[in-house]
Parts: sequence; structure tokens; C-alpha cells
Amino acid sequence: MKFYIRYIRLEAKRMLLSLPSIFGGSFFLLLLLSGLFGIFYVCQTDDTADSLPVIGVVAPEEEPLVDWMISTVSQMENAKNAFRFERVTREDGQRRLQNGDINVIFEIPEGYIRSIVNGSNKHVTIRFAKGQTTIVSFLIREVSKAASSFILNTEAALYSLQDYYASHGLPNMQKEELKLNIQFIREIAGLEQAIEPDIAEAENAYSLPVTYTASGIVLLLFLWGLTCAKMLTSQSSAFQNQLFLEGIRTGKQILARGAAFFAVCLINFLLFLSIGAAVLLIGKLPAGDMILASPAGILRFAVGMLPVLFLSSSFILMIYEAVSDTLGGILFLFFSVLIMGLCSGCFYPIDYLPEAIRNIAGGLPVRRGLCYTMALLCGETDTSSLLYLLFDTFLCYFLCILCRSVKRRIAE
Amino acid sequence: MTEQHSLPSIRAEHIKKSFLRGRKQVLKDICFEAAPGECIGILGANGCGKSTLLSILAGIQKPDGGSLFCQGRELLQKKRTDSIFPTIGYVPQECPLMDELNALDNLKLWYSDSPLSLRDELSSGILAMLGIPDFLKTSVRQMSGGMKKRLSIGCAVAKAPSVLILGEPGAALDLICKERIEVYLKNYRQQGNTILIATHEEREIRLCDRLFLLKGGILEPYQYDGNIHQLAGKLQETTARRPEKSPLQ
Repeated sequence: MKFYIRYIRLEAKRMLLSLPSIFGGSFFLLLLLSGLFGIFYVCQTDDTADSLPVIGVVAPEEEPLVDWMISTVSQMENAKNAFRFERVTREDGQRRLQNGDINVIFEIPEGYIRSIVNGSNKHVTIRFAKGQTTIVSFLIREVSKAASSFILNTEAALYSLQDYYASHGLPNMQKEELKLNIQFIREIAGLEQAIEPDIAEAENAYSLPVTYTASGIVLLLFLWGLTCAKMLTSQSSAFQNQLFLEGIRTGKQILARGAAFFAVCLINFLLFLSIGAAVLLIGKLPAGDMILASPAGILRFAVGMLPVLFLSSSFILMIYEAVSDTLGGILFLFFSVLIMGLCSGCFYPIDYLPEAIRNIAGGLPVRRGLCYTMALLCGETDTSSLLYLLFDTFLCYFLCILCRSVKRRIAE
Repeated sequence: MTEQHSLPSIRAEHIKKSFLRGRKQVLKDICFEAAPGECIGILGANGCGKSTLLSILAGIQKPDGGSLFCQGRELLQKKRTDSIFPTIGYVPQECPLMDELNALDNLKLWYSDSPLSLRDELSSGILAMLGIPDFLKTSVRQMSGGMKKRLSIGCAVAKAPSVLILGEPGAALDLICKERIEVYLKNYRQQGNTILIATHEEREIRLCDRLFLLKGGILEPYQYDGNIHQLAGKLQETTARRPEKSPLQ
């Protein structure tokens, strides 16, 4: 036991010798991530941004309610601050689409609203330039979501009257009913600011500052492994064998390294947190709805982040155990964290991603760390995420041991 | 004491080891024994299985068959944590040290659970004899090959083992280092300890009481008469293989 404790202490000492370079590297990463998320935040919230994708709407002049629909849809959460709608003629729209001034055109056919009411359902045509497929598919999905929810609600309201007539044995006054409904909607639409979308915060949804702060912290904790390559590349097999002869088997060797690396990560994290806390408290910067506004909150955050640190340190350790080559380990870690970050909603809301990716993201360490950190920043405890974090940590350690055992077997 | 000394320090019986699921048999039938105070040399061409044999004797690898005894006690059935194991010290050919730390830190690790006092050994014991105090504060990364080898030996003998296994200790070392190691090994043997050494160096061959030639997975006794050319010819016989096809053909 004395030998094992000494070994852990020496591993920690060995890793602490690299702390200055880890701190320096992490600081550089922090600057990069801050810049990146700062840009994302500004893009998401700046109402005056003039580089928003433009959606042209082509509709017959006499088509009722198109302008009102555009203004309503553009105020909905999915489309707000993401697109700019512009009513255009077909010829002008076509020309501007070819010039790249418009990203996509929605062409509403004649009698579209009437077709919704009488059930013939004419289709909206969507036009876009060949090179715009990526952004357009994203636009279409988001705008369609917003528009379809509006249309479905309107349609449901109109049809409900027909049901009402049928259930009360009244004659079907379809023509009059349509006229009445359109007149009614026109009246509402005619009222300035009559419809003000009320965006209710969904359960477990966090504000953009919380999301981006949590994303930055979690990605930093995972990415600072890029600066630890030198100290985490596998020890010589001769040294591992000598430890083995002393009764320190593979599992205990990995645990010792894990404990030492965790200690180094913790010190690094506390250094960053102290600097961050000093800037927040002395500079009296707004912390929004986050717990970082007070020293007690910062302390609670520091303690609460331990499970995420456990996971990130074990994940980094696992990567360097699996990939013996230093450069290979760095590249593998970078791309794995980047992909996990993209799939986990670190850069933009996870709701924007396809369902299949969202399902996979639920099992990714970065996503679990992100969910837990977002909750923690708001002063909540996400118990299920916490349990997943602990489970993932054990899984990473298990995989570390497995990697080393397999390598040892191959070497033999 | 006398009863223990009458037993061989280490005895191997019919040790077998193969790789690639039995397709490559490296050790076929290894039998030998070494008495206390004896120095045994194992000679053989590169890749003939010397390191495999040493790692089996040290307890790192498990053989496919056979028995291994240390002072009359069977080792292969025991765990490394059993008290018998610290009586064997192993100095592999590669550097078994923590690269980023200095000599003192490495020694502190191996002497943390040792019956010997690190301070005493550094002032007048084994470590002083190996000249380790001269580079105590030097990082392993900055050490020469000779320093690393001497430090490796210093670490391996921390548990005061009665058997010391060395894999090519003099390889790529200068004469001063070789001399220091040789002096230490002679002293170690005089204390009644056993040395097993895999080597290609003539100086180390002369140090040995008995020599074995590892040939075709079997240990053959070899009598060295001071003719190094004859030994080289004998080693060449062990490596005689079918000529490989030239890649240009």
C-alpha cells in the first residue's frame, strides 16, 4: 500500500510538472471558445443583423392574409432573428434567386387559403439555387415548422365550425362560413399588434447565455486534454512490467494515473474558476439567471462540477490509452470532442438536429456534461444526468483498463 | 540458512512458451538451475527468445508449461504479492523508469516499501557503489544510457533480492559504466546472491560462472574458451535460416 500511495504521489508530481503548459494551453482554448460562442450569441440575438438569410414570398395580390401570415410566422420563435421575409413578384424573385440575393422562394398558389378551407390543399412551391442546398434544407425545415403550426391551427379552427353545424343538425353553410371566417381573420389581422406571440419557456429549456456558458465550460474541460498529450501518452511497457512485479496490476495502474490526472485537472479548473470569479465579482458583470453572481453560488458551482471533471478527465485518459501515438491521440481527441459538441447542441440548439442524431446525442459524454452543467448554472441538480456522468466515468475507466490489457497481450 | 543455501536459488523445469496461438514456439524445453552465489550467462542471437525467458523467470509473462522454483518454492502457482516474489529483481533491457522525474524520485518509489534505507544506500551502500549520488537531481530524460542503466539496477535491488535478472546490462554503455556495473555485480554475487544475465558482451561473458546458449528454444551448456570468433560462429548457426526472397525478385 505504501508503494502504491507513493506511486500515485509521483504520478501526480509528474503531471503537475506539466501544469504550466496545460494552464497556458487551456487559456488559449478558453479565448478561442469565448470568441466562438460570443459570435454565436451575437448572431442569435442581434435583431439588426442584415446578413440574415432572405426568404422571398411570391403570392397573388388578391390572395388574402398572405402579409399577415408572413408577419405572424416571422415572429414565431423558430423563425425569429433567423430569417428575413420579403414579398416579391415571381420574375423579380427568380432573378434575385439566381443572383444570390435571395436564399429561397416560397411560391403561394392562387386560392391557397381557400384550398385549406375546402380541403383541396394546394401546395406551396419552394425554389432555391443549386448551391444553397445545405442552408435551404435548414431554412425549409424551420420555416415549415413555424408555418405549418400556424396553418394547422387556422385549419383546425375553420373545420371545427363544420363539425359544429353537423352536430347540431344545421345546414352546411360552407360558402358563408368561409366568408365569415376569412372576414373574421382579416379583422384580427387588421388590428395592429393584435397577435403578439407569447414565447413560453419549455421545461428544461435554458436561456442562450446559460447554454453557451455551459457549452464553453464543458468543451474546455474536454478539449484541454489536447494540452496533456505529453504527460498522458502511455508509459514504457518496461515500467508497467516493473509495477506489475510489485503487485500493481493494470487496473490499479490506471486508477493511479486517473487519480493523479484528476488532481491536475481539478487544480487547473480551480485556477480558471478563481480568475473567472474575480472578473465576475470585481467587474460586477451581469451573470443573468446563473448562480455565478455570488461567491456562494460560485462555490456551489465548483463543487457541483466535480462529476463533469471526473468524466472529462477519464475520457481524456481513455483516448490517450487507446491511441499510443501522441499526435494521433491529439487528433482523435479533437475530432471526437468536436463531433460530440456538434451533436450535443453546444453550438446551436439541439432541436435543430435530426431526431436520429438527437437520440444518439443523449448517450454522448459531452451532451450529458452539458445537460448537467446547464442545470447546475441555474442552481438545479439534474440527478439523471449526474448518474449518467458517473456511469460514463466508470465506463471510460473500464475502457482504459481494457485498452491497456489488450495492448499488453498483443505486446506479449 | 544452510538448508536454504543448499537449495538452488532458481530452477526452471521444462519451460515452454509459444506465440501466435502456438504457431511460433520460442521456448521449447528450458531446463536449468542456478546455485546461490552463481552467475549464469544466457547467450543467443537477436530474437531467439532471451528476453522472453528472462521475463518468464521474473514473473512478468506466464509460460505455456513447466515449473519454476525459487529456493525450493514453486513460483508459477503463486501471485506476485506473495512474499517469495521480492527475492527476484529484474533489470529489463528497456528503461523501466519514470522519464519526467529525477533519479531521487524514482528511487523513492522503489525504496518506499524496502527493507533497505535509501539514505544509507546512497551514502555507503549499493547506490553509492553504482555512483548514483552523482546524478540524483538529474531528470531521467536528460540522463545518459549508462546513468539510466545504473539507476535501473539501483531500483531493481531495492528489495534486496537474492536473484538478479539482467537483460543485456552493458549494451551501448561506455567503459566506465561497464566497469561500475561489473564491480557491483561481482560484489553482489560475493554476498551469496545469484545473477542471471542475457548478454552479448565479452566482459559480461567472462563474469559468468556458467554459460548457456539459447538455440531452437532449448538451453545448451556452452564453454567459452576466450575465442569470441568461435562464439560468433556458434551464434550464427542458431540464426541460420532459409534465405529470404529478395523483394526485387
